Amino acid sequence: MCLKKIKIAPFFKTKNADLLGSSDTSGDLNVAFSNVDNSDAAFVQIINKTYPEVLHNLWNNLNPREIALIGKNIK
Amino acid sequence: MKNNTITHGKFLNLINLQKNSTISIDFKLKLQVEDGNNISSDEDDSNYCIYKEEKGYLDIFVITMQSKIEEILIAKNFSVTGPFLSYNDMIFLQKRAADYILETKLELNVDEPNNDRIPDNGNFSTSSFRVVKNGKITVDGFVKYTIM
Repeated sequence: MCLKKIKIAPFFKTKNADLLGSSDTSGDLNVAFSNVDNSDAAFVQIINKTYPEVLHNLWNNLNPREIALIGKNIK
Repeated sequence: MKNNTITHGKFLNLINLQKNSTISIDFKLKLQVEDGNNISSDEDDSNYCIYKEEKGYLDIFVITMQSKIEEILIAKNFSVTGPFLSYNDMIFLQKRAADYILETKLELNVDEPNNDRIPDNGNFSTSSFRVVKNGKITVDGFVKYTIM
């Protein structure tokens, strides 16, 4: 039986990547092109934001007395 | 648009109510990466991947989250067993000894265009290709307590 479900506020981040490869077989990038890829940065930023939010939620919402009381009543 | 949903960080903790001393919790995770980086040709093909799982960001995130959640539970006077990846990973004695299950589930949604690799026969070479990936990364999830 579910006692509590704490929803985490969603986080968004825009990712932009524009890469030019010199050869389809080797997958090498063309050095003459300004290859830009912020996928890594966007992803890391978003998980850096998510992490404290999840832990704060957990810290604020976990109440041992409340859980024990509900548990006793159910049993 | 395709929507890729990867479920990560789903883990279960068995918890018991118990008296314990409080400890301090650090809520910071700092993963660093170059922002809007120019990728040099020296780097390998993994630069094309979107999720960068091979670089281990998600692994670090999940492992750190697991340990911190355990710290929080201990600080809140619970005793903890686990984490377990699924209910079936617990043995009977562990299930019997536990009062509650804490399930933590985080979802990572990445919206991206389908045409991610397009031929580019323009300026540089006839066999060249272009990768354009513009989209949105969403992290969504919940923490759920379940009584056994």
